[in-house]
Amino acid sequence: MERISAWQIGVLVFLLRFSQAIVSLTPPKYTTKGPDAWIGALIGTLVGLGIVWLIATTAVLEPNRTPIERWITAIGPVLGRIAGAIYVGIILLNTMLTVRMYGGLLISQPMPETPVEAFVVLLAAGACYAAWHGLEVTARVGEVVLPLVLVGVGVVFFLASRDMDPRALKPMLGWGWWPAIRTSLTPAALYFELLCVGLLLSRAANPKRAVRAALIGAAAAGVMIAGGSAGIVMFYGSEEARRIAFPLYDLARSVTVGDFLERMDPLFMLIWTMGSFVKVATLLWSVTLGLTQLLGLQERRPLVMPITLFCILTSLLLYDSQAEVTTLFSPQVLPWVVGPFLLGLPGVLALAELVQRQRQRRRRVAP
Amino acid sequence: MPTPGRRITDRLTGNLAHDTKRLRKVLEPCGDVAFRPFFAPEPVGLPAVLIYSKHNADKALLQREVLETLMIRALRSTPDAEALALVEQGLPVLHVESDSSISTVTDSVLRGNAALIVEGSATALLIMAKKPAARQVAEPSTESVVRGPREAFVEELEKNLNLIRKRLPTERLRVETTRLGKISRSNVVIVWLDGIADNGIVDEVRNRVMSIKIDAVLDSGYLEEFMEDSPFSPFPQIEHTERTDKLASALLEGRVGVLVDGSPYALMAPALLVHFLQSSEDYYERFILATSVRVIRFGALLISLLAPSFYVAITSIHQEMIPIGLALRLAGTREGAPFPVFVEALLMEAAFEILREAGIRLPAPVGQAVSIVGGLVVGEAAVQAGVANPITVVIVALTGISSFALPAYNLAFSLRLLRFPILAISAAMGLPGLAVACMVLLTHLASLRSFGVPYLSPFGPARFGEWKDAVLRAPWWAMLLRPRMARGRTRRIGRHQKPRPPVGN
Repeated sequence: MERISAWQIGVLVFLLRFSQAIVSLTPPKYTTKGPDAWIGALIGTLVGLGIVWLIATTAVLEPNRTPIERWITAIGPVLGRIAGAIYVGIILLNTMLTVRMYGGLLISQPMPETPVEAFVVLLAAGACYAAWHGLEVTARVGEVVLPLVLVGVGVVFFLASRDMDPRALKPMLGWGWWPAIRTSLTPAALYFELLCVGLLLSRAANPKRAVRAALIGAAAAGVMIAGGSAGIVMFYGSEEARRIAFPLYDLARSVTVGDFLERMDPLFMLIWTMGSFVKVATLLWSVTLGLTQLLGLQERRPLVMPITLFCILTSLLLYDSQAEVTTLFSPQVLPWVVGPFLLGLPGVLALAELVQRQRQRRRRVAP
Repeated sequence: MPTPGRRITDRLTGNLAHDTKRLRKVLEPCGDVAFRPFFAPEPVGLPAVLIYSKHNADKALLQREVLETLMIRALRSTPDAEALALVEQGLPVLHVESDSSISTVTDSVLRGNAALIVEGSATALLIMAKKPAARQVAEPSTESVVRGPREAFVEELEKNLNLIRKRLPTERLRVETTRLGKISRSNVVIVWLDGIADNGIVDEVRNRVMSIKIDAVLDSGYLEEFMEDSPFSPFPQIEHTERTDKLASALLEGRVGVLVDGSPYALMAPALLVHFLQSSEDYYERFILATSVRVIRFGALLISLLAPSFYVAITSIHQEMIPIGLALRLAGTREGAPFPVFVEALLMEAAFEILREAGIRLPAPVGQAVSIVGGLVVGEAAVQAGVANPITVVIVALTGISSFALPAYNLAFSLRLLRFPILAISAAMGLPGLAVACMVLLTHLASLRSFGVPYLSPFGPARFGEWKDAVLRAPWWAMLLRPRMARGRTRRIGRHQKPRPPVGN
């Protein structure tokens, strides 16, 4: 069985949450009023961390077992498989969305003449290769990519910092807590990207340390998103930031390195591609492992290619325009679509396991 | 005296005529083996035959120390000693072995030693009279350094082992010899440091070496392909060296060496990607210089792999990245160009590779002239003819020069191969294509193992403690522990050795 270290779990969790955020920092976009996107992002992170904590701490009670196996044990083979199928379905949806959004940005900004299919196939096929090799290999790739992502994002913010105005963040909570809380719904809901943490933890070499690493990874991503949101608002102002589809990408376009590098966005695209690659590979691994267990198969690898093909085809049918994505990720839609699953799946599983444990304890006590 | 039976065995019988006949049957067709029958006077008082290789054996030694001793000088006799024991005790030759197997006798004679068989004895004396090899220890030709030892392995295994022993005169140095090759019967030696090398890795190397079935092993390169974890990968997974100090250093890091008789290159396993980017000199120069050079090498690796692809991607798809001045200049040079940038780069790359290959195969002075003059002439002619633009020539030349900055030729060659598919995908898909190609390559590297050790370590899996000797080279006094691939992270350097100026001055 594959085994990954706690550090690798932390890296994967960070990249799962942060990869998409590299270009499409959502909080400033979905703020209704005021410059408090970053506060919304922090609140969303706290909510998200709570959910990751629930997923991780219950997973560590049953080390080496995936949520699918736990569902089947907790509520029986039929209901367990249905719940498992929903769980895998959500991860699959996340995979499709990630792949589609990658293509969506590339055709909307830097390469409008290339068909979206080309980018979707490019990313999915590459990630398929990593998913075929498994979690250990994907985690190692993640370890190499992480510093590049951090340095890339850091450099963009550093170069943009001379044009940032901290006054744009004022008045802090000038419209009260409500706009910030409302903004936090999308970042919190986006933690559905970390539902697969349960699967990752089943392969942790040291589950207890892995839980801590997963929480640190998720928190670090959340804090960076919040910091990034503040940076975007300081650079563009809260009104302008709300109108930009891909704020961080646009920020990268705005910065220059002396008179030599006049456009940083293609380099930023490299970093984003690398992050998305690791994310999609991890998600594909999770989906194929989940399906293997749902279908009672022995081997995961034969599923990788068909699932990738399915992802490519369905992701192209997900939406037609960027406006639809903006609507999907808005606080009015995303939290209500994924929220029930995000809270329900780990919550019900934890509850079912608790009931099961109490029953077992009672049985042991009864003569 | 044993009577020869009808059953043919591999053993000597003690019947001199019979044994000689059998050995003649095997060895005489070779054409270079001589049989010298003689009578050894009292106290031996028996007929004997000396068998030796005409070209490889040291005939002067055999004449002086064997024949003259046995035929002219009187041997001192020990009462009741057997004839063979008398001879063995009396011969003034340093290294004498005895064996009763015909195949061993045959093998020893063919390797340049001499065999002495005496009437009545079913055992032959093997006199190690092999002539020393002609080539002396010389400077390494492919791994030269500005500062550091200048000893390279030679084609003679014994000499190579002596060179290692000279550097590591410790009882921990283990040498295990085996013989490979049905026809060549080459001696293959596995060396490691006991207590430092991981036993699992030593066993794995031993198993892989032992399981090789081949007719001949003419160089250590033959074994390399049998021993790799992923034979279809373009990346080398076993390192080779002709430097004795490099092998000694590898052994001190817990790696295992394999030497083959007749090959001046030792194999070292496990081999990680970073090992191919390190040079012996890194450890002989001060750490600041060594670290800078390593960073340059990593840069050279990226340039040699990605520069043409990046150039093609930005000039054909992401022109917005190029500063306006340069973009205008590029547009000017490309006016009327018959080929797209991708084809230009591909043609120039192909031309460069052909020139380089031609330069390697030709004699050194001619080869240099061909590669330098050829490169200049072809590049200049291509620009003059309007087939390529000057910037493409500059990029291709930079790529070629960068690949020479890599210390390992086999890694540089892998990168040369991979450059072409990456170039194609970058031309088609721009920087996203380049990024995905890099990620696929990275995934491949992350999936590789060398004798079970992840190829990308210490970066993936991250082993932060070992970063001190990866891209960076920490000062010697700070590299306290051996790499983890050794048997645990054992200490190699004492604590608190950072030099300080004397107190009180």
